[in-house]
Amino acid sequence: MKYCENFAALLDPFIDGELSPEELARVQAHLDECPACRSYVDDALAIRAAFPDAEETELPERFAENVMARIQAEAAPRAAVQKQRSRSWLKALVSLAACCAIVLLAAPMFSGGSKAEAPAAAASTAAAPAERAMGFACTEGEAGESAGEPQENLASSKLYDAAPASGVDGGGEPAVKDFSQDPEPYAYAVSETVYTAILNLPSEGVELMAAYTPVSENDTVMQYELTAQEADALLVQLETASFSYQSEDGIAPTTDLVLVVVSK
Amino acid sequence: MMEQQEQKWIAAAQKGDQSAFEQLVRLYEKRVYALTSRMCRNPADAEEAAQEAFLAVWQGLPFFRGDSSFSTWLYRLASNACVDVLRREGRHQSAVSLDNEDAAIDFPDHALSPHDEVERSELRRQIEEGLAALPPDYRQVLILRELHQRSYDEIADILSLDLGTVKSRINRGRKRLRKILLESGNFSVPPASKETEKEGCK
Repeated sequence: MKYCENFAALLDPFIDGELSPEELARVQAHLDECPACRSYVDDALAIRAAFPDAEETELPERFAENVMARIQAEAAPRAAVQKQRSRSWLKALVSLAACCAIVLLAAPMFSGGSKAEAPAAAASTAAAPAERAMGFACTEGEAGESAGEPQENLASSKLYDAAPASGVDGGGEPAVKDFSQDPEPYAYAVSETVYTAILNLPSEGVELMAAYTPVSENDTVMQYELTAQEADALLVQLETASFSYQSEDGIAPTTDLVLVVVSK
Repeated sequence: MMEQQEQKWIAAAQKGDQSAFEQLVRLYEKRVYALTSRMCRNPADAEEAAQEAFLAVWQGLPFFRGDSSFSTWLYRLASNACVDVLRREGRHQSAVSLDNEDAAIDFPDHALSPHDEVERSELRRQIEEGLAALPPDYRQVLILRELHQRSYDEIADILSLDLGTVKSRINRGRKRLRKILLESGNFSVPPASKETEKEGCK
């Protein structure tokens, strides 16, 4: 009895080709002398021989066409949003350029005007505060334009100012403004990179970002740079995430970059 | 050669080529529907789950790094889609004891016409009924093993189970299915020539 019990656990792996050559030989020898085990194996192989065949599966009518129609139906509104946002993106770039000009022109005044190299200082020693001010000023201006518009669904996503987003010192103020107050795409400069959206995830989100290498990291956040296509795919994954999140509807032009900030 | 073609379609679809993705849908549609049609309770749910699986593939392609094979990933998404569909409709079968009425699913009969296939066809019909009567966890591993010819490791990967659980479910599922077929008279009663049969190999 004990003998056969020992083989019971090996019969399925034998049937399924999952045994080592040594175990295989042992089981084959046992089958030669045990009709009961042989019967089990024979029946399992008979089941296999008569098992339904995937290729004989009768598909619902126009299955593939229906799948593709759903894909196209989901892509269409997104493309429309992208086109709209593309125009807004140009507008944002113009605003950004205007902000840069103001900062560069204003810098000499704030630096006392005594240094001849004031404009250069604005671009070097004063670069961090200047960028911070720039990001803040630009987004404030856009917020003013869109005041009173309905809130979008990214209530928890916030636009970071330049300091934490750059990840260099991590000492800046994190939240400058809320996405919910401004449905326009964001032009946001971080270390000479312009992002159109910033997506904030709780610490659980780090698993979803495992395939990416952080562009920067400090004590409180990790930051990743994603293409719009990657960000779109991330949003899809977030829809089934166990942690709470809110997503922007359409990250927009395929040439844009999205900054993902994951809390630690 | 087919594998090379599949890799080309995958690479193109990752870049957003919908026609390449349609080729992948056509390549795998029967295999995916073969799974969802046996895991869901009716053809409408089965079609929805299969569609959801392919949509999830399309949406996840930018993230697909090839750590698992494409088919393993696809079957995983199809399995998940079945669970989602059943859960959405509050009809997840795990906690349900299936009786014969529940098992009577109106799926197309795969009867084969040649006369010498009649016996096998009858056995196949019984297998379908037996599968439908199995608990979903057992049915799922048997379908992946017998219909999709997945190895134990691949099944563990698809279903996010450890190898021991896969082995155990295959063993129990196969025994239950065999018992059903024995009771329906499809298999002859196994020889009781040795006392061992009653203990270890039943």
